[in-house]
Amino acid sequence: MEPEPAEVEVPAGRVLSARELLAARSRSQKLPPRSHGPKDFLPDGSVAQAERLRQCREELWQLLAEERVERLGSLVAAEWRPEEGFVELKSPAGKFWQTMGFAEQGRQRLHPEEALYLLECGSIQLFHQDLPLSIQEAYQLLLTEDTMTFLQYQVFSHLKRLGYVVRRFQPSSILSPYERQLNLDGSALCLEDRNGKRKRRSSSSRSINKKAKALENPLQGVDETTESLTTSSPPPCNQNSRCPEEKPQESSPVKGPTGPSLLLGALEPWPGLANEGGGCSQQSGKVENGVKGVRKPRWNFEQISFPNMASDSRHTLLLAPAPELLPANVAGRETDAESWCQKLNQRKEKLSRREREQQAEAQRFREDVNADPEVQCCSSWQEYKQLLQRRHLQKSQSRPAHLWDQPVHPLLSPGQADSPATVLQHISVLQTTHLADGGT
Amino acid sequence: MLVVEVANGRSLVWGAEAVQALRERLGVGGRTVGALPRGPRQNSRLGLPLLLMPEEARLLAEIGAVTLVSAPRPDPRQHSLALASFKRQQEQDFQEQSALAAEARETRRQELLEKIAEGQAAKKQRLEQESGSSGSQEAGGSQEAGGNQAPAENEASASQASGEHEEAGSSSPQPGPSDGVAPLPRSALLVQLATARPRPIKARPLDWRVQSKDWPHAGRPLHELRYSIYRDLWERGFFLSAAGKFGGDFLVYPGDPLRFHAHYIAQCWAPGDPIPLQDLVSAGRLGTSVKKTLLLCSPQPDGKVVYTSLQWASLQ
Repeated sequence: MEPEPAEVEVPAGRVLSARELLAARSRSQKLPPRSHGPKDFLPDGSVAQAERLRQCREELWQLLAEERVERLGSLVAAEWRPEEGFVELKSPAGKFWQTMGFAEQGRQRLHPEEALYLLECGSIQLFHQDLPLSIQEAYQLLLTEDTMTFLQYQVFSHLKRLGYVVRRFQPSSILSPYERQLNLDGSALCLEDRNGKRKRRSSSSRSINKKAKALENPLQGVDETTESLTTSSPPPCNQNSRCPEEKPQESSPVKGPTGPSLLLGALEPWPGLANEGGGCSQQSGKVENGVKGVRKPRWNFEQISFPNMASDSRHTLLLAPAPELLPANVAGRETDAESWCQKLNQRKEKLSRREREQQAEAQRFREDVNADPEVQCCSSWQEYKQLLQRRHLQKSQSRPAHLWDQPVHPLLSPGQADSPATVLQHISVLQTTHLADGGT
Repeated sequence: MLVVEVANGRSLVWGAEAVQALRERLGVGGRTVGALPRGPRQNSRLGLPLLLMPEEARLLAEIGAVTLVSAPRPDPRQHSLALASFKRQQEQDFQEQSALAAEARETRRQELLEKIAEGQAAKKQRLEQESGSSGSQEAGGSQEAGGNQAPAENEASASQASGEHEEAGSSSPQPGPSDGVAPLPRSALLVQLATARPRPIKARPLDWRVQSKDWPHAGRPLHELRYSIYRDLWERGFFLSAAGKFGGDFLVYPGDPLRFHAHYIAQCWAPGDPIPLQDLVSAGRLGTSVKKTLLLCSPQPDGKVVYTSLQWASLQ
């Protein structure tokens, strides 16, 4: 199929003049109501109908014809990398960074669908080979069959506009049916949907009554709470504060687990929980009908947010502990330790090259006790002590009994041999050979 | 002559005037699928691009109202030229915007001058009434303070106008000397995020009769079936749109969907195709619950289209 020779000129889209740009800033931001009055049943050629239709249409054309006008200072510059399939941010990200994008090698990146959505919202300016892309060109370049199809992008943007946080799906995070059957790790994995979308948590001011319920049935409660511990994963700050820009879904079908998920904040100051957890894991061990062996730990410590003042995953809002856990005359209260963070020197240490190399060398040979798989199997301190004892025994048992445990006998007493040859012969170090005897 | 770009079987219209022409003159609506610039975070009203159904695109091409082209790739040879012209354009824009901003400031000040003069006169009068010469000295001092305030602001956006009015009301700025203001900072430059391609480009026309990567529908029986029904209904003056929501192929409106409700849900069946009873029943029930009549459409071998409408009548 040869390409047709005749080329058609596609006219350019509207480019606003400077005056129009300035005027655009003062246009109304509200969406006009959709229809002027209830709809009619049949067209009857009347003037009134025609007038209403004309008005509706006018509004529609006006809305569609508006162009996006933004201040250069409020736009984040981003560059599309076609070979690598993502968009790299050239200037620091704004508020959208809390829920979108990923960081790699210290640089901020966006997936193509996220970048396109932000471009449509007017938060970023997308460049390709130094030229800014229009939305049309961006659709053409970013939505290809191998990166993200048009249909997928439609779904993504629809969900984002509804207020969800939509992320790419990781197949490794879903349990296989077999694993689920064994209940190998029913707790430590997340509640993500098949599509990897996770709902925004709404306010953290839910009732404290739910905590009491969890205490009453500990087994169930721990399951729920451990589930919730994992669903509260990145970023933990979102759970405790409401971001006003995204509309949270109040009437969510995920309401069941969401309720107890907010127990997370209250779980941290509970000292007795570790025992509870240990106790319950033993119970569930029984449930598994004694299927012991290599078991993943019940607690995924990477996703439990302990209070943290460091800059890596700041978690400074500490909720008040449940009053029923405290002694009678002690009142617990909620604190926000953020003010202390400001008093700390949070600046990253700038090491010289030599120091960095030294650190790298030291890290190389250092062994992390937590990286040991046997240690990871231990779900309580008791088990760890048992493991250490076992190891100690093994080490001490590595000496063969016939060599080490019997009384020491000399191989040769002084009177038994008189020449070095016979000594060697006796202790069988060397067999004597008589080379002079015909050599056989 | 309208041009519509087609890529991977999807026809997208990116110009608002084109959308208007298609809808008003030709009765072809399409569906908006992009974010609306005025409200990009809501789903009730969407903006450009307009997605045309394959049947709509083919109809427009057949009647000669529109030229279908394959979506063009930017030419790498033109890139440096485009880049140079873009930089020039931006510089020019910047100059123009600075000039306009200064102009706007000037006009605002002129407008407010009368108000200021009035305000000053009133104040003076009031002060003279209360006390003698001490009042006029104070008025003089406040005038100077006001004069220093006005050149300090650089904001070009008109939304600052209200803030300025308040300032002018409280203090009384003098008509400042030929600005000596700081020029518009780069970050306040207003930039357009273009919806459609800002530069014209050459594209290859697409023949909808031939199957290609960009137009996989040609020759497919399902497409032909739907198209014949679409064409027939369109010629009768109805307005059609996609009916995925209602389990049909098309929604048939007596006029523009902005002002009229749909009357029929059209389902296309090939002649001779057996219709499973379950489908009939479910389609009928759906139609009833949304108060629309189900229309079963079949093109006959002789070219005419036969319609059967179904309405659910409960026997009670």
